[in-house]
Amino acid sequence: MKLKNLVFITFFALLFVIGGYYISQIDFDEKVARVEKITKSILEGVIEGPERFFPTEANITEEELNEINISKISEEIGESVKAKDKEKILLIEKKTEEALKIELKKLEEEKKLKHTKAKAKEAKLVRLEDLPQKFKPLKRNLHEPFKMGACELCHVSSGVKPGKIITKNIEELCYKCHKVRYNKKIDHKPVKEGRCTDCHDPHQSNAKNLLKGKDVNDLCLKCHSVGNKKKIKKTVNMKAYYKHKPAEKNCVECHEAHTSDYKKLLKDDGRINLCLDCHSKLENHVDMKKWINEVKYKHGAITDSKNRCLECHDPHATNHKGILKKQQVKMCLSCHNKNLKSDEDGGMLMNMEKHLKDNPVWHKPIKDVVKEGGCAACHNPHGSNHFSILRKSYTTEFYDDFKAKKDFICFKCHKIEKFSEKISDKTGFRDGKVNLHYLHVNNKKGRSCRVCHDEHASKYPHLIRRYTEFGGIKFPMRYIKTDNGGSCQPACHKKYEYDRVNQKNKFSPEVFKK
Amino acid sequence: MKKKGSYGVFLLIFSILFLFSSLYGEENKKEDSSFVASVVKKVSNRYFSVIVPFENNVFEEQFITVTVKVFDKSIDKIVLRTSYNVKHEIDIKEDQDTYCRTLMFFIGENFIKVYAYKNGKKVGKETIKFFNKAFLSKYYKIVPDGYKKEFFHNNIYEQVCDKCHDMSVNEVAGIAFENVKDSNCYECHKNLLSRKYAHAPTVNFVCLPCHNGKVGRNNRKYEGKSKFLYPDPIGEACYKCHKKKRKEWSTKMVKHDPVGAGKCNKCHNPHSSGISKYFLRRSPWRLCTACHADKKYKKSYINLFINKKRAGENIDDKFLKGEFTCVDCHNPHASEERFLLKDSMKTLKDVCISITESGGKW
Repeated sequence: MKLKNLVFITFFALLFVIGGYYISQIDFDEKVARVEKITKSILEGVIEGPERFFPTEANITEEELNEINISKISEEIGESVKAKDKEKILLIEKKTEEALKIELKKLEEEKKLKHTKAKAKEAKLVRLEDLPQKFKPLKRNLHEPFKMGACELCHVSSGVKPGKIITKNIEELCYKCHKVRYNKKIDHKPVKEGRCTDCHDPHQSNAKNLLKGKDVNDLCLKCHSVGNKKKIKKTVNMKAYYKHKPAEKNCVECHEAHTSDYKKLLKDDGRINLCLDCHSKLENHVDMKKWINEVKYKHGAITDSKNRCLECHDPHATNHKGILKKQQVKMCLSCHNKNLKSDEDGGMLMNMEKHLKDNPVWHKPIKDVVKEGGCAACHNPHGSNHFSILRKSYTTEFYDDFKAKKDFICFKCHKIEKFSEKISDKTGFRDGKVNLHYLHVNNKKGRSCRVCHDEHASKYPHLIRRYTEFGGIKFPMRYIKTDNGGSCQPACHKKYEYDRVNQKNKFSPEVFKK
Repeated sequence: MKKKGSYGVFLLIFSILFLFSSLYGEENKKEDSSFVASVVKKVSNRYFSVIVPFENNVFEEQFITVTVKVFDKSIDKIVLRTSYNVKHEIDIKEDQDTYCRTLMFFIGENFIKVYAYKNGKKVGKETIKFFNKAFLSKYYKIVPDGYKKEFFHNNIYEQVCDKCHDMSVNEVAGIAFENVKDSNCYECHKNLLSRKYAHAPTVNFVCLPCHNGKVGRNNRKYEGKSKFLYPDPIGEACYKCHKKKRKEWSTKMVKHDPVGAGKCNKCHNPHSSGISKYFLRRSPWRLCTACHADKKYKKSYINLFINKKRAGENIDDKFLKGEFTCVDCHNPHASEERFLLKDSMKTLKDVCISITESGGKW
């Protein structure tokens, strides 16, 4: 029995020794690979230029650099860069290889020292397997010191608390290696206050740049969403229906994460320049930069306002079409609620809010914003080559030649047959079957639409004006509607009645000729 | 004893005050009637007095209001008789002492005769002469001696009628009345709408743009005499609305004299017209020949056209029947061609040359 026991014990002891050897061997191989990587990165830096020869870029800590006898190499590298000789570089390579061999020897000596488990614990580097349970399983991206197991770079080795940091500030600790300091005008608040770990995980993460969220937007919205726990005021409601595509995709398209010279951490002047950067190149979109600059009549909201594009649009997301801040008509009325000065002729624009409030009958596009398009159905808010930033031509005159100008904005919706046929029942403004629109419009001195109709709103049906203006005097139209027609008594003629069923007036036979 | 004496004193003072007040009251009444009389310049008889029209006044429109103030209400009726022998009867009512009628007169010297009847007998008679000035006809253009323009709408004369008529301006500049009857001018001047064709400002009683109280080159002497003067020449006021016409005519080579002088109201009646929709004072042929009197006879022209037709030329029926007017060939305002022709002489050649050859004067 004793023999058997002895044999078992020796067998297990052998297994233990062999296992231990192998484990230490793996450890050793890893270190060799690591050193090789470092030297390679240095060499790459040499070839590509001196700028890359920087410890932070290669993710090498200072301690590691001290381990490698690098000072001599760097001097020679500096010379070689000047010479740009491949041969010299090769020489350097050889020398680095020599240096590497020396390092390997050192490591071998170390290995002898760390041969036992007890000694491994005392060493500075912690193996991945020995990490505390909370770090497992390991995530996709690891912080380089964490990957190396160099916990003591940041943490106190035998502290009172587990995970206590060497310095007081996280800021100091991070900037020790990440030597890019943020010196621009405006800092992100966590950067300003040195709270790097608010966004970045110091150990590991599944996202790029060791971010704490799933991706950039997820991280940003943790603080900057409506109703956040931290009570941050600068919020964005990305749940709204209409979203700005870059905002939906990635906040960093427009914003800087750390520091910027422009307000709201933007990459450029966010009121218009940043917008036009993209909106002059997009496919299936108007080249807005060109449009705004070259158009004849400009909208003051873009050219002459405080917030330029952002006067109307929200850069993130809203529930209104075109990512407008409010419903379209309300948006327009937020400025047009007073008499504004017109850029076109220096005259005054009417107080549209008051006009709409006073007059209950509205033009259909204004009444039905969603279907018909609101103000933008006729006006182009980004400017136009037609007066009053209309999308198509129109007239300011009392008399205009209808036959020459059939591309009025009105005829976009209102069919032209209503006005161009002598005998017609397509229009409601007829006496019997005689088209009264034709009579008014088609003469040599054709009256324009605006003579009788108000384009926006009126108290009378069919948007008939209360006053028509001629020679600076406002004459009342005195329009009265009846079931089958109506009557009108403006300054132009005496009181005439019309009726769609029973013809009221006598017309000369010329009217009925074709 | 003391008390009784004081009562007596009080009574005395009161009675004296009462006397004075009654005296002054009578004096005021007298002043009132004498003021009206001073306006009319004479008290015609003890039954009535004609306030308007003023004696020997000059008018420019056809419609003239006659206002009679009755002192003695015992008379039954008042009869107005115009120079055209048109009769108007007014019955006297108990509660009314002033009566107005607006009547139509023609150009030239006119008179109105006012009779008072009592129990079917003529009791009082009054004749007022006045002159209706013509813009067009050369015979009545110059006001004869003895007539003098006197304006009614000034602070003194308006007092006469302001008990019944509100003559303040209630017109909002630039906005016409929704209902013209709201206008203070309507009540007295509504007859301007009685003609068939009326100018839009007249129909809507937008008076102030023309009757702005200002004077022009030709009527400077009347400055300040009336609240509602219009500047003469009237052209500037017309062009306020008819902007396009001004632009059109200003560039033309030849202008009709009245157009150049801005005397639009020479041919056009700015209020209304019964003849033409352009508010002409007469029909075109009669209008033109009022000044161009040497071209008065149509017959010679018509014969020309008939001869030409016989010679086998194609001539419009309009010319044969004599329905043509001056305006068929001439532009009455301005033109690029000689003689204010509508088109160049070449296109109008046939008619014109034949007339000139035959010795017709132009």
